[in-house]
Amino acid sequence: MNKKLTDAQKNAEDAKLAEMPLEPSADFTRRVLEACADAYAERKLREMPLEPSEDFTRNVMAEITAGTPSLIAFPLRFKRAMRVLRISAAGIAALAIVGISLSSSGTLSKSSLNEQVASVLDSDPELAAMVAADDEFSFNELLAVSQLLTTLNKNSEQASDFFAYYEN
Amino acid sequence: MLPDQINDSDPDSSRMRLIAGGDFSAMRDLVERWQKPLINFFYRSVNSVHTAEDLAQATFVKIFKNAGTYEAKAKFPTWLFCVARSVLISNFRKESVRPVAFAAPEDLANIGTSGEDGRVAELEQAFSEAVKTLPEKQRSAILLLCQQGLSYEEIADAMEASIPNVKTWIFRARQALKEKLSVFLEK
Repeated sequence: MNKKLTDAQKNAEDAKLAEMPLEPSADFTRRVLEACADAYAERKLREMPLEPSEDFTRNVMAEITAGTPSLIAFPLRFKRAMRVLRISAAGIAALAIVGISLSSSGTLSKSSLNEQVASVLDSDPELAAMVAADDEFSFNELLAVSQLLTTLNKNSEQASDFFAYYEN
Repeated sequence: MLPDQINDSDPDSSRMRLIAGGDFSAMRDLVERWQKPLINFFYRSVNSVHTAEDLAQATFVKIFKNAGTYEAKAKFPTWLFCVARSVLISNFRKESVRPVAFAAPEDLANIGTSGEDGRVAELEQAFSEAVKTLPEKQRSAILLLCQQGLSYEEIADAMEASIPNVKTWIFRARQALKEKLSVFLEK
């Protein structure tokens, strides 16, 4: 008797379990597909499917070194800095001194170099005014220009090439 | 820039200082380190292997020429992708006056679809098209976030935009991709 009741109960439970009382909401499929699309897109966005071709590095380096390798490394900003500094002979001389310090000291700290450039600018109000007129110039750029000028002073042939390049 | 603002711990920033001094070996290191991320960034925008490599090369040349202007105030990738984006936008301007581009067979052959069934390849193609047709700002923002792993702040710096704008572009890109791909999946 007990077993029959148990079987009846079990059948009722099975029938209940077999029911699917809920209908998916109208946009259920769309939402699932969107979630799948989202997950797929997120995964694909992280991928880097391409490997660079074998000669990519060589091609880039060839492009960089082509033309005028001794000039190309100097950015356009130097061109502007050179124009400013060429106007002031005193400024060139003063910054060349800083450049010599830079070349010879080797271990001189950047803050000391900044102080030296500041000192040069303090001693040459005309140059300081020209530099201040272009507020994009940084100490580092002035230092780099002073290094360049120092180098050029040691090699007049190269200097004439540089000036021809920057002035054209 | 003050000395204490220089990010000396970043090896790419150190390389940039060497490159500014004309160090070609540092430039080679930089090219080898960043070529794959750059090429893949461009590839998602142009869907052409050759154009992606050309744009990556143009970016590296531009970086070399402008190495003296680099200031290590932020992470190097922020500056790198700022330059890359300017190269990309410049390319779009040039392309806009050219005849319709075609996909070279070798471009398609380079994508790893071998062994996948046609449906998967179609889904891949649908994804590539969906990314390519996103507005440039949305596409760049979501690629910099997901593909290149930049933070929102870094993306804002690279794209010279505000963080809320970047978040909006990324949200819209995700929505657009989800909609386009789910339409494909429903077919």
